[in-house]
Amino acid sequence: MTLTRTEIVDHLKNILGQERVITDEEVLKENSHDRYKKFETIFNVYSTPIPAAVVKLGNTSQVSEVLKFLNENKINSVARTGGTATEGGLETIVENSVVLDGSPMNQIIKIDPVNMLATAQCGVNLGELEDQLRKQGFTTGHSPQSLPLAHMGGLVATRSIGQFSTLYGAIEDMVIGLEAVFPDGEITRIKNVPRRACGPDIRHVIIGNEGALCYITEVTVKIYRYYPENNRYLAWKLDHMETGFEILRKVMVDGYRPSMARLYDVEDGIQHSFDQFAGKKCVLMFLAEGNELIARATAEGIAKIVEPYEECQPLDSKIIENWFSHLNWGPEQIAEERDLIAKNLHIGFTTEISGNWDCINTIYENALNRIQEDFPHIDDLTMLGGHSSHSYQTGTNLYFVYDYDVKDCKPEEEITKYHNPLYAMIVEETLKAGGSMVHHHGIGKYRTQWTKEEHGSAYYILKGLKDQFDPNGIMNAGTVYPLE
Amino acid sequence: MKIAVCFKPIADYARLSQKDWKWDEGHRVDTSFIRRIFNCFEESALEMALTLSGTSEHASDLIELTALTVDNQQGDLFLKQLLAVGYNYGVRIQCKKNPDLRFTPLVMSHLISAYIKKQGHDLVILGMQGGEGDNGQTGFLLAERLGWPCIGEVSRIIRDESHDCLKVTSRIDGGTLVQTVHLPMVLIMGHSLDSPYLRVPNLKQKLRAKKKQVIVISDIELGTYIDPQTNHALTNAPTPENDKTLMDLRKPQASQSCVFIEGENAMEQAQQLYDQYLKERLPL
Amino acid sequence: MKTAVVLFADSPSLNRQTGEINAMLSNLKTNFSNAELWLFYKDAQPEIFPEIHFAPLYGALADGTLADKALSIIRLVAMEHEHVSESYLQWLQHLMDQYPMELLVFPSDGLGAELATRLAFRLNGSSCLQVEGLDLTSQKPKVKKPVYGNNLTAEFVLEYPPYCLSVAKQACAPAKMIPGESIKKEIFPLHKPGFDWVKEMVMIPDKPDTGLADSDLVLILGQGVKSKETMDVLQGIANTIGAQLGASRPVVMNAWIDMNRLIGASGLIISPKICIAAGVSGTGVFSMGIKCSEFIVAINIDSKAPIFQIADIGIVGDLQDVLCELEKIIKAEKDMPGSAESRIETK
Repeated sequence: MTLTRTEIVDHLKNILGQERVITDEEVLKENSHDRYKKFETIFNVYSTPIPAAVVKLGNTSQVSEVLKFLNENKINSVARTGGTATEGGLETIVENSVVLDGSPMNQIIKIDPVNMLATAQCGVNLGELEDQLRKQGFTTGHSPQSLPLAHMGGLVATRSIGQFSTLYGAIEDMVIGLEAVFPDGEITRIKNVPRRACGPDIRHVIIGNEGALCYITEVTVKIYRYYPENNRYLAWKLDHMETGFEILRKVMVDGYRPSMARLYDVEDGIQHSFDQFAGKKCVLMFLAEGNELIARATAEGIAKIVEPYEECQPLDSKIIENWFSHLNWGPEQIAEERDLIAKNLHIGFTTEISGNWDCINTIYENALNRIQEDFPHIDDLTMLGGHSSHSYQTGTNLYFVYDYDVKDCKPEEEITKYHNPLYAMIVEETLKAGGSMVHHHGIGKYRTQWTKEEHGSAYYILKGLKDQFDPNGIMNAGTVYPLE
Repeated sequence: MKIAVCFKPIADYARLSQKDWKWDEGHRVDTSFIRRIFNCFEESALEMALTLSGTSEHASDLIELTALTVDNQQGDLFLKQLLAVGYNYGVRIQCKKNPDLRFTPLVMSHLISAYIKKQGHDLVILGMQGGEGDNGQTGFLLAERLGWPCIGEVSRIIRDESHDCLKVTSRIDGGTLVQTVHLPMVLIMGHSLDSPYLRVPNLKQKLRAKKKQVIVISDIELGTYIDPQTNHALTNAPTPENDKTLMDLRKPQASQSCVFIEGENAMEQAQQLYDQYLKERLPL
Repeated sequence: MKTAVVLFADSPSLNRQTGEINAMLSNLKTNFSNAELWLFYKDAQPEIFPEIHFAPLYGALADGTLADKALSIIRLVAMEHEHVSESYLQWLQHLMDQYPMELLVFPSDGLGAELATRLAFRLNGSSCLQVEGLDLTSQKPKVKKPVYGNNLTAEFVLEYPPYCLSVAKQACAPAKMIPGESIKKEIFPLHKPGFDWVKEMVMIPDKPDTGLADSDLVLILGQGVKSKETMDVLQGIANTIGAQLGASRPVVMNAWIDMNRLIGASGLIISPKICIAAGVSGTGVFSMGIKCSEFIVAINIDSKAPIFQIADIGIVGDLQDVLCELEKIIKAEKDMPGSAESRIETK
């Protein structure tokens, strides 16, 4: 028997107390979506079903109680903390969903300098954790652009990555232990040990689950010594992306680990005003970080690798250092973006993928060509380009960036006219060339049609997890796993 | 109708940190490593002119748009961007000897008026203030030199039904003024939360603009020569060309340091705040 | 130095504009003598006049008014067109012809700025706008004004008289109005020049105040608020403690509060007795809006937020937590005075 909206709300109030159950219309609207549908919401259109309630969860046992209730009654849940997701993962697409807001769980539990660990609840803002750590000379090493706004729960649930990942790794390299609650109410805690071989690494069932398997309530990450005084920025302008990829590969393969390694194409560079300094060229940049000996050797090593490439001309690193320090997105930038979209009907998105070294340039060229040739509204695009920002021993990621004027369509039609088709072309070209369709933003709800193709035969393993942990399908339906 | 919009891109000051605000003996602050942007007044002016030109219905009442700046070669990027979004001409006045024009609205207005007189525009739109100097005077002085009326703190410009007039909305003390005016005229844009953003060219427009040329004019061609020693324009103009001399730059005084309330939790902090500071001040 | 202050009697902000001029004059620490007030008006001839502090060093009389011996005459000029700057300019040129001044001080608004600039040009003098400080100790006046987007202050020497200044906008005590019967006056009759470039003119007065500008206690919320929902809670707190609510740009642009509550360079500039800035980072553009408040309390989770540079008292913490606690204290005090005893245990 399906409960009505009012019944759901009443039950939740009984479990949590009424002050924790929000049914204010504006709040419900805001919690029905994430940044994927930002366009329509700026015009006050909310095409996604509005959830029945947003519940403010204060502790793990509350999470357990609520999930048990939702599971018994087959009510869809969406886990949410900072709300900065970009792929629709937070959309409440099932009628009468319940949004589980973990942001009240905002305590930094412990900072442990001996074991180099920091433990935080899921609602802790990463920026605040970083500030606390830096006061003591430490850092998480995790610095996504959403740092001022994102919370630990979401950052782990989406397998996020930060700007300094080339040195510090991504979230999965940083998480030591976790606490998570499963749909049946089971509270599980993974202890903090440096490494073990006690069966498969079960942390990876939780990291990246995007709320489709469990609810993350607490996270312990390792911390690093912070040496900002040794930072060395290096930058060059060059003619070809292909050369840039080649250099990135050489840097990684030769064993250097700059914390930041990026390659911008001309169009994307213009968006960052690089053309004011580099003209119409690609820009390649690195940041060497760490203790003095390492930072110096890294910088020198990279410079030596770039030197023989005649097309690479050095750029003043002061420019890049200044630009980089203003990259993060806080409330001020989001408000300005909103204003610009509302006034000019002009909007931009990104779709980011990954690929091995031998196919990344192919993916870059094929995806852009495909859009140029096949996208029916190419004339509305004002910008189409990309950059690489996370490199590995075996390959790198690629951000495709595209801006357009929204013409002749209703706010809710924007995603079907522009966003979805552009997205689809990039994903298709990436999968065709052997890359992965999502590097770190998460599958969300809009790439699920390719989930099976992405995983191939290994989808068997992924599906097994869903069957085991969420047989009733109440965990963020439509995310990661395609709706059957 | 021939419209000229004047602009001067400036460094994005929000990206300068406290330690970057230092200057040399010439009182110049190094902003070479910061990107340059349009200021909000000029952005509104540039977009407003584009909107106006889009309202031409017949060939007879077409609007010709010129974007005008006083700058070295760095200005070309911005002019090309404006050519891409629909400006007919992008013009850059280059002063041969690179004088310090930060605090000299008299010189700026002289250069602009010389160009306008030569080209015969009907309307000049500028931003309320900008550049490093924030002088706020170039528009007024331009009106004086051209002998045209001017309206300041403009927020909106639209065409009147009789197509040779404009309807100008501007801010005055205590209200808003809507005037229907004849040309020629100098309009000086103010800024509000409603102000428009400059549109962005689409890919095709950017490609087409690659072929367009920026027009560069030297101050000598305009019949003036700026002496960098004195910043005086050497012409036979009777008026002085610089009415103020820069003596010093200073960082605004940092006030006495803030007293922080310590407290273990919000309750303690709030209680201390009330007991020690608010109780005596609140009108209870 | 022969000085005249130019003001517009019908301006709704006359008291504030005069206050701004007084703020600048009071920093001069000199007395003027034989100073003049040139007052433009439309329709009704003024019977009360803004009090200008020409002689701050003379101090106050027993009845509280200033012993302003410095003001020698008020010249009253009737205007037909109050919104056409050319009509003022022609009058000013005429007055300067007859009564040449060395220093003219104009108010901070757009009209004042325009007249200062254009008049100086016509008379081959010097002009400067947004003047924060004036120094008349040397032969040529020195002025201070903000430059580089309000990040620096520049000092200039003005080269040629007449020196026409428009003062900086700043929060200040509004000037009083005085009867001024004892002051000599000269009245200039209405004169109707024609202005053929204006075909039609409509004036739309501003909507009445929210009361924010005049409130003694203001609570300003910034980007630390993070959601409309929190905003509503804080509006409730503001009501309880009796504060008017203001906001910084990110809050207004997210449509969490009305635009007319924006504080800062593009919005309101206020000077309440108490200003609590909660969750506001405090950039230059914003702090212009509150820096002249009598007492500023800043609450921010980031101890390095620039707002602490202009605040008197700082609390590093979560704004909602602190404000909720403050609300409890103030509410308790209102309900039962004297009851809000410290709940902190003394150790």
